[in-house]
Amino acid sequence: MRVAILYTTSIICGFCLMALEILASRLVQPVFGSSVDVWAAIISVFILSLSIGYVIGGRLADKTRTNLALGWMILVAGVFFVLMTIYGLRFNEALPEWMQTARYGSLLSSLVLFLPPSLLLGCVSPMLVKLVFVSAERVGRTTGTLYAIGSIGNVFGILVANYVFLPLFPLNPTFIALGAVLMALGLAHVFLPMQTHTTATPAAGATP
Amino acid sequence: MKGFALLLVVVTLALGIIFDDDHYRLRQLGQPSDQAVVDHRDSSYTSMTWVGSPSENYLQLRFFDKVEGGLCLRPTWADINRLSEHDPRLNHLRFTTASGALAPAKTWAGEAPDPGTLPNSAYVRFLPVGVLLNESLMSKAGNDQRRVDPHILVIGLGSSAGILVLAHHFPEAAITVVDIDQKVIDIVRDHVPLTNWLTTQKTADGSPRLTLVAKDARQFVRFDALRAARKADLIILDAYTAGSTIPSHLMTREFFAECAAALSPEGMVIGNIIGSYTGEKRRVVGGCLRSLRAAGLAEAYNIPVLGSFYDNAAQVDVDHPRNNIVIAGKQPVDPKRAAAGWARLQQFVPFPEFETDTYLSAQYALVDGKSRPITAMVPSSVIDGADSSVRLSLKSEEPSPGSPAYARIARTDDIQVIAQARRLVADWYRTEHEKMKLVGFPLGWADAPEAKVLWRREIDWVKGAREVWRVTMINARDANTNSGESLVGPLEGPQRDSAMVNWTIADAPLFTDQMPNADIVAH
Repeated sequence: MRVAILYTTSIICGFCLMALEILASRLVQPVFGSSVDVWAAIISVFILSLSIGYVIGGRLADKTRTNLALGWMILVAGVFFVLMTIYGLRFNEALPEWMQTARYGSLLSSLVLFLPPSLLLGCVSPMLVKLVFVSAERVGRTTGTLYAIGSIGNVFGILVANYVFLPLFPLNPTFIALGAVLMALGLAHVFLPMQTHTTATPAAGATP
Repeated sequence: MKGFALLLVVVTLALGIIFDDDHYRLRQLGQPSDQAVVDHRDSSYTSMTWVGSPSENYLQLRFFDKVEGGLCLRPTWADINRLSEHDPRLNHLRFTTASGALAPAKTWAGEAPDPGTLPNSAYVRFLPVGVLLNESLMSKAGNDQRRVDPHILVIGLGSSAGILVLAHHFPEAAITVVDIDQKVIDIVRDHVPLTNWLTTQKTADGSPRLTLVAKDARQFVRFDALRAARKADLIILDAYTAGSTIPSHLMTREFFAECAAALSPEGMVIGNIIGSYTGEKRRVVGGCLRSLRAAGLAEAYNIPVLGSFYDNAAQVDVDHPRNNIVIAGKQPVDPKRAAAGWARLQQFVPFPEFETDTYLSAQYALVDGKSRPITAMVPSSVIDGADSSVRLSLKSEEPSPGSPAYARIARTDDIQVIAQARRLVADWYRTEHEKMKLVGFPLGWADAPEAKVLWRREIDWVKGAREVWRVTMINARDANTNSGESLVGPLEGPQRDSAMVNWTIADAPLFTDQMPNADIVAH
């Protein structure tokens, strides 16, 4: 049950992250166009925020012994998803004319709009590793399975966003729905506490 | 193990270097076998190739190997210059060698491309519609297209064929082209001397005749177009990306509203929209009309371009995707309420200074039972020049009434004549392929199976421009079957008897920044 919840968390966060990347283009294009510059900006910002997220998430995971921080990360990511419907396009349009260029403006826009939520979702993976982690012998298998599941979530996020969300639903309701899912998931973690396994770091004098 | 790894690297690199794919393909069924590449360039937006065929009279700009616009190689700009000595109507295209204007960038197959204003593509011939329908501009100029002074904004440069059509017919037009890709502008400047020269010329009131701007159209319309001293009388939407797809942010209600704000009160938007009357492709045309209306350009009309000689004014193939000229403005644009404008459209003669029966191209091909080519086309001179009996044994096809009559087609199914044609093609290749830089033996001529028909087609490019205009206008004037409304069903109220389909405009997608999916429904 515990592992199932953690794997579900991984797949949902992976899904929302890549769905955001696809949907992001539609927030940027009205102002910056649809050139490869725009895609370069979006993709680089997502990868950048993932790497920052991995660092922060890893450190946090070592400091905490519960899933409380994880829950808050996901919850706040969901908040960004929802609020983006308010400030996303407005921010881009409010940029002065000289900054509304595809080459650099779209990079700035992507940083401001997409770095916070994707960074928060990037923190999730290392924190999940810590929670799933059972023993040092199985660390490879555990992390491997988690990454695989998260990546499957990524794949579905891209495909569903492209083939279902974009053609069938307006942008804002999609953002709000994804945000709601993330917030619900975050709440679940906040309200259902889990301890990390402590067997890996035996306390002093606790020899069997 | 290390040795295997090294071997793998070497083999992979060798395979990649030897078998890497071409950027473009010249050997294709139905294309002239004397095609040659003039230039190829890549940019961060596209991959572009100038391809020319002297025998088929074209210089085409292809994006990702797909034709996006073409110019006739003849009449050349030098031809126009010569004509202008006797025809003052061509003075506005006349250059002096002192200005150093005529300096084509590259030599190609022994000559430098120097195309004039005659387009090889059909739809660009209809861009004048947006000026001729403008009542206040035309009446201010005394209905004289040589005096009318429209300010025109074109979104998407392509080969510049459409800009040259406008510059040819409206000497006083001030045209601004905005294209997202500086490299497209560069390649056009390098290979179309006339377009390059126009950027140095001024109209009577001192405006540049042509301004080329590298910028995203949405930004240009939002900022630059609004700041312009004089608002645009016409905005032409012709931006496409690979695969005949319109960039989604240039096909939304919000963008059209920005266009409307940049227009003069009687100004209009015309769009080149690829779509059909039925099937999925109607969603693009219908959605464009619906979104234009939602943006406050409430008057809209559609002119399907009947460019093929298989088209028929009386009976349009509604399933066939084709170029459509979508017109929208705040003033009436339909034939009934804009009758004076439509009278001008009916009287308009494209390229009146050029003679017919002068700028021709003729090709032979082997075709199947449905006239689909199963070989590359071969210049007619290859066969006609060597043995006139082949041409004499062909039987002419009568053009069907109602179709644009600019091509003469003749054919034979005589096995001996076909064999003789094949021999002549083989001779031609043997003796000429090095001199003409032919890319290979004309496709299919040695081995095409079931070549039952030899087919000869001759095109008159000046007649082409006039006939396509004439037939398209006859068809478009019939409001009941050809308006934008009938394309997608009646706008509102009871369905008209004459409506082609009962798919109403409310069923067409409304393209907005929230759901800007012109690029998805186009597939």
